[in-house]
Amino acid sequence: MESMQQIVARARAAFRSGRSRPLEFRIQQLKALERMVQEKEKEILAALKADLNKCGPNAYSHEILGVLGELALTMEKLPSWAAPQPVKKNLLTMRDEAYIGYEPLGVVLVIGAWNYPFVLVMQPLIGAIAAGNAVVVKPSEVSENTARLVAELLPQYLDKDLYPVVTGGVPETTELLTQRFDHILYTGNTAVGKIVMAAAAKHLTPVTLELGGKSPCYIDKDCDLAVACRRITWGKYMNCGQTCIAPDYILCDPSIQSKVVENIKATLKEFYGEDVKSSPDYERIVNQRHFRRVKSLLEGQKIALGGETDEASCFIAPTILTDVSPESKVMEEEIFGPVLPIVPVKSVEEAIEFINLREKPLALYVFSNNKQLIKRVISETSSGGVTGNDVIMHFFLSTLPFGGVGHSGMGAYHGKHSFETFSHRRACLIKDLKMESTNKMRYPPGSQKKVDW
Amino acid sequence: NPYAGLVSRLRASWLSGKTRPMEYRVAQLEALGRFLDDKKPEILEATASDLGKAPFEAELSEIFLCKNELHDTLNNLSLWMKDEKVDRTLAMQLDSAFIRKDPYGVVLIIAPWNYPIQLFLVPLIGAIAAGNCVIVKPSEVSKKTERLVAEALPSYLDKDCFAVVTGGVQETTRLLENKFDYIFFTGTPPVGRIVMTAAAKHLTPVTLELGGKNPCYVSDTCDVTNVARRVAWGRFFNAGQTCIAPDYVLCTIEMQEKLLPALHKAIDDFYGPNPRESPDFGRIVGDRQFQRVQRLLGSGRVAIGGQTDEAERYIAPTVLVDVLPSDLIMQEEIFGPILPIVIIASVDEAIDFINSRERPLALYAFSSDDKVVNQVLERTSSGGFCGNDTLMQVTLTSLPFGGIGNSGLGKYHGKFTFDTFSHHRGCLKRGMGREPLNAPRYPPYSPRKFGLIRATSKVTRTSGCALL
Repeated sequence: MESMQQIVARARAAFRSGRSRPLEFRIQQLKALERMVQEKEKEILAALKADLNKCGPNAYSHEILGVLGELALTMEKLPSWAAPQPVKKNLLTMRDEAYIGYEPLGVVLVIGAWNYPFVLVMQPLIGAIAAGNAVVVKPSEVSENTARLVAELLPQYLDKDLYPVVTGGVPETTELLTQRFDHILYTGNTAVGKIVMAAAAKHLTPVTLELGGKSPCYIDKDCDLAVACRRITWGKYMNCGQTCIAPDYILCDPSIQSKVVENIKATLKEFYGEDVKSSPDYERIVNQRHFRRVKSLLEGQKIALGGETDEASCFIAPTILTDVSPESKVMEEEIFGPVLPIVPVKSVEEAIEFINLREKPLALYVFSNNKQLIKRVISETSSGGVTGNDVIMHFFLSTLPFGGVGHSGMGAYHGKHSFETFSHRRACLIKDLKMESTNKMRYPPGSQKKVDW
Repeated sequence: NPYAGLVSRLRASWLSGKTRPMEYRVAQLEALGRFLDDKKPEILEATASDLGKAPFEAELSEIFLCKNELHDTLNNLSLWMKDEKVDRTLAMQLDSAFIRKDPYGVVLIIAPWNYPIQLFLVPLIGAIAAGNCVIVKPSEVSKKTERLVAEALPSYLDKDCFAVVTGGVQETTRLLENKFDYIFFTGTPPVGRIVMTAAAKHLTPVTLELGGKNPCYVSDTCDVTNVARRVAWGRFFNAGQTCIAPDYVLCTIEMQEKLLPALHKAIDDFYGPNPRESPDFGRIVGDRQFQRVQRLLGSGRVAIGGQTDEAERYIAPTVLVDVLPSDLIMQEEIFGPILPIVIIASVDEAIDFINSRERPLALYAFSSDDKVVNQVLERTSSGGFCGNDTLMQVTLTSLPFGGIGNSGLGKYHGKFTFDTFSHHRGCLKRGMGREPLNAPRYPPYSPRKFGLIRATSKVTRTSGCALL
């Protein structure tokens, strides 16, 4: 069994060899990844089903389609992304070459999460390879089938030394984090995010932390409630609520609370039928520990819909809680489950104040026909990202940087933002050894005349 | 927590939204400009007292460069603040997609003593421009400048939103216990680690502008006179106390023979036969730093200079030869007016030497042969690079300034400072209509729906790969 130190050292030696730098090599590796995803589609879907009870079409569109899209985009754009960028010069540097060069950082660590276990290692990996780095991949041990599959597949398709996969739990990850990396991208929770950053600090390693929080969803009285609730239902209950950018809780006027419940109830029937438990499209909580955690959030709450649970299968029905108190447990932590609290607020001002008193969330949602109101909510709050009049969708536009702020994270990726995250932008100024006379101005002995000019 | 009150007061101001309107930010920035104009004599006096800084150097590095940044920012602020529209997929053509530049909130700027005005003021410009509230912590080592900043700066800026905190290691440690929304630190790698560790407790993003040993490769084919002048200028500016100064030279023994007399002449031209009497040559900032740099004179052999005067904290512009990689002077960033020459036999050896060490903040290569300069550039890694000159890469506000690895993380200057202090927030605004278009994504899932999703959101390679 190889030690972490040996694996990382081998990746570093492979990086130092320089072979990951030519664009041809990077594109070749990305093409191999593309082949892997296409050839092993069945195996990948089977792993996702085993880990999260995610069904075929759902898993494909959430985990595989996005990866294929990112691969195609990256391979297409890489030459233009990687090209040196000339910059504006001043009079003094007019005859010089001045540009920003994009260079790899070195050895990058990608730590994945269990809720979208395939895409959350693949998408960072694509960007890190594109930028010319060696990459150590550490999939989440909680989604063990996907972790095992990634560990088997990557060495079959990619350069084994440059892109090793490391598996294991907390002890292995802790040991891995003692090694020196040139960038760490971590997806997971806030508490572990702090641990990752503290470990990175020892080596002055820059980090991208994709964390979480309670993503608020404000529903204005002036909006098409049926449409709003359908979209919210989709985003909240997909993957059984285990989505970092799921609408965590709703803020709305008390007068529309019951209509919201009605609409969501109707939509749920549309989506999952009369008996949710038997719908092939409804997922399960990933494990017993999380099941118990989410179930405990229901204690003492007014359950307007759902509430049924089955520990043996980690099933929790789509649930709505009404008249939720801001001080209750369900409003303290990110829910990460199919439980939707509604907190009544009497005005958009109250909603904004409520949001701003809390940690900055990863996503923020606002539904309204009133464009000014949407603008106001966005400009008076802060969040990683925003979707107006829908949920989740900003994640799917790769030209938007995807990341958090404050407790929901730092840094961003997706598309070109991944390439930039994993690159060093090196300032380059190339002058002529001649033309020394223009330099005379700056040399001592100084004089007021020189200064005034 | 002695600073809790201050931080929460600034946070309350931040939440009030006061710093957001462009007019407010412009007013504060213009006030900073007036600070530089009104207090110019005091700035020159304070830096002369703290560092023996020549008025010319102070004017150039502490006032002129700052005003450039200020003007660049004021000229472009409205453009930088604008929401940045992004390309959309086919499915999102009717939506509005843009990146908003949100301020972070309450930010902390910790500055060092070597360019005591520039190194807090340039970050401050970007922090204000980005709409934040700011606490500035100038260095206690440059004492006179610290007092000037603490006494004079607050009266130019809105006291509700901007504050100056003074003190040493203890005070800075207590300050770092508080939650900030961004921390910008300029200083040494060991303290950089401490700052980042403190920041990790609050998940505060950081920019760390650190340092290292900036190599200066001089090839055999070059105009020795010009090389010597440019290298001497970069090394001895501010008595060597510059994070991007050429730290050591790598060249062949033949080149060293030519370089030494050229360096001697350059030093003579710049500072006269006795640099101690030149008004243009600086002093070491403090006794502790003086003793540290003086110890480095024991490495190798003194070829030029070597004189010191403890009372004045004067160290003559010095060049050392016969320096071995294992000597003390090659173990730490020199940060003083001493230039060691390390002999190598070829450009390959120089590149290997550079690559076996921590990545520096700056890297210099001199050659009349473009190919040689490019070789060094392409086969090494550093924060920034300048071919055939020293220091000049930081005078262009369009180039990012920052380190890599041990020399730092993050970057600033010009728009990069504004971007450093802004959260880039991805925003998508959709319409409530056209709901049928969303139908394929909803359960119950089916192969047909799935086919529709694929068709409408697929990204394909539009061309064959020309590179393969």
